[in-house]
Amino acid sequence: MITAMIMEKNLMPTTTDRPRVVECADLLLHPDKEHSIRICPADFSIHSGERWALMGPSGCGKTSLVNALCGLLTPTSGTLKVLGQDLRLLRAGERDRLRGKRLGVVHQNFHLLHGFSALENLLIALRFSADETGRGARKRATEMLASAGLEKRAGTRVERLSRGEAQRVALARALVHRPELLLTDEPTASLDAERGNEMLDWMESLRQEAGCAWLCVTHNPAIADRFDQVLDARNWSAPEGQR
Amino acid sequence: MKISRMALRGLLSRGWVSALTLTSLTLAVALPCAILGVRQQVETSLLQEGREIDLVAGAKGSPLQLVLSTVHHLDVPTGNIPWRMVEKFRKDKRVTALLPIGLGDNFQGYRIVGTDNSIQTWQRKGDHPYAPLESGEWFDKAFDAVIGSEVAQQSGLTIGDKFVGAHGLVAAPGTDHAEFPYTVTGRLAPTGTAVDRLIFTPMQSVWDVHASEQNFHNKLFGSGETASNTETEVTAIWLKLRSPGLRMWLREEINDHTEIMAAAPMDELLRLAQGVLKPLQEGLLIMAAAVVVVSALAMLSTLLQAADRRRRDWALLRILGARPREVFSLVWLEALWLTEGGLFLGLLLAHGGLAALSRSGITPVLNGFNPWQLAPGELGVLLTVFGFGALAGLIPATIAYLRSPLQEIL
Repeated sequence: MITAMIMEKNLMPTTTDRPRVVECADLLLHPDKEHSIRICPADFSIHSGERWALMGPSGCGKTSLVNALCGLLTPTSGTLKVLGQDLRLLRAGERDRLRGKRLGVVHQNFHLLHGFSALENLLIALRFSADETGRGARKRATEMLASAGLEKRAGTRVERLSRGEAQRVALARALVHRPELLLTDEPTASLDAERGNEMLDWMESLRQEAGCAWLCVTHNPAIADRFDQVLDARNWSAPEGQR
Repeated sequence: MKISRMALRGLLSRGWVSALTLTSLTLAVALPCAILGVRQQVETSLLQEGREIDLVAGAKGSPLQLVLSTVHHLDVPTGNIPWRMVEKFRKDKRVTALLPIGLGDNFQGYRIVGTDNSIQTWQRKGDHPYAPLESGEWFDKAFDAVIGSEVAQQSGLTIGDKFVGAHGLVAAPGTDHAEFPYTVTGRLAPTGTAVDRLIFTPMQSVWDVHASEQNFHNKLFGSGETASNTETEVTAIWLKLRSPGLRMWLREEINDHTEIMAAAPMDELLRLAQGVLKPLQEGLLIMAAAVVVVSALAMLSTLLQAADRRRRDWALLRILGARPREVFSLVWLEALWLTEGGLFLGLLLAHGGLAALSRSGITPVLNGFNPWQLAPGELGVLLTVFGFGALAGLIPATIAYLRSPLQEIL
């Protein structure tokens, strides 16, 4: 039987009494028309407040898991529950709403909205995540950008930001609505080690403030060391039929 | 950030593409609206002017020319007729009112019209005075002059000022009658009609100037005849009849049994409208309709091209939690914003252009015209363009609605 290697680092007290924010098992995903991939063959769950690193070589399905957890990729079989909701049973609009309101997601390419300023990117996120459109939203977004060291770049269109600045905007946008589950895919890939550590410290402080669980995809063992638990995805990365 | 604001920001972020689409829509609205505006004014100016006149009597020639030259003051007269015809019509019991019109001179291109005191009581259709006096007094003696509002405004003449006329109906150097100065005794209120461009004076002024010219001409060419021997003339006579039913009867009688001609302004202008203006306007409106269709297709093409480029943006909005119907609303709202902007700018361009044309005085038909008033049919143009824009916007909005965000971001 193939099992996912879960390395308990025992940095936290047992969390099984906390509510589960992620439950998944034996997911069959189809990232594109030609390929399918089976991930998480064993039960895997994340409890509220837990911090997990997801490590594994390229192509093993780390990003696919993130896309599945945020409702962008729907498995054709297996179990996939996020924040108590079975994503396989939700309609597209309901998955969008769940993602926008209760999840914070940072993809590898940041996915910032071009043509809009850094502040507007956060305001748009607040519009769909918290239905906030007034002064409260602006205050919250401005505070987030200030805490990311971007107060002077708030009005700059995101395509004019440096890669590091764009990454910080993406992270601020993912956390601005205080999500219950944060999903990040290589969140510090564009930053040097020192700046990357600063960014992770900043994210951790915001995560603690929000009290959310965090699943972070990374290749970097040093970053994985900062997390409570590490999920090694090497063993469930083989394409369907080759396993 | 509200969806409406996001739509507006989205449009602004694609500045050039949005501007070109907006320009296309603006022209699609402006062209038909301007044509409709001009049509309304032409109808008002040509068909409404002179509706109270049953017949115009004048020298034989083109009836339309007679009406245009002596009612609308747009053409040259067909000639003159003897003053005794005025006396004859005064005795005719079928005629309830008449107004003699004597043309021949101008001041800075504004026609000097000889007439009599009947002008003070001459009423338009609807009992509005034909030439309402705003200040000063009506003429009392030869070479008194009452000037129209545009004449006063453009020439700067005020009551008590003197001016000299020139021979002919258009301004030309070296034709001044310096020995016959006119004195302004009154100024007319603006009417939005040809009256604004006229100078009224007693018939005697026209005769005196004409007699002087005739004497000079006879001396020059050796004729023994003097002006006192020649019969006084008038260019036209406006007639109001006891009943409209008499119009055709009297016209036939005049045309068949006298040396002069009679024309019914309404008949002539309707013939002009039906025969010349209507086909012209219809041709222009067909062209304008083609512009509307081409603009709508251009807008659709622009929106679809933009849709291709914007799939990523729509996917990102979905990732941020926007539901498919919210993305649909956003994309459709952008098309509606563009359409509404085009409607507003198109109306502004059409009516602003008409206002500029009216002020420039290039065409007398647009003088005194209220260019900001919506013409009949303009609402239809606006609704059609809005409908096209709304329909064109539905296509990319539906694509955005149906598109899976994952297709764009993987």
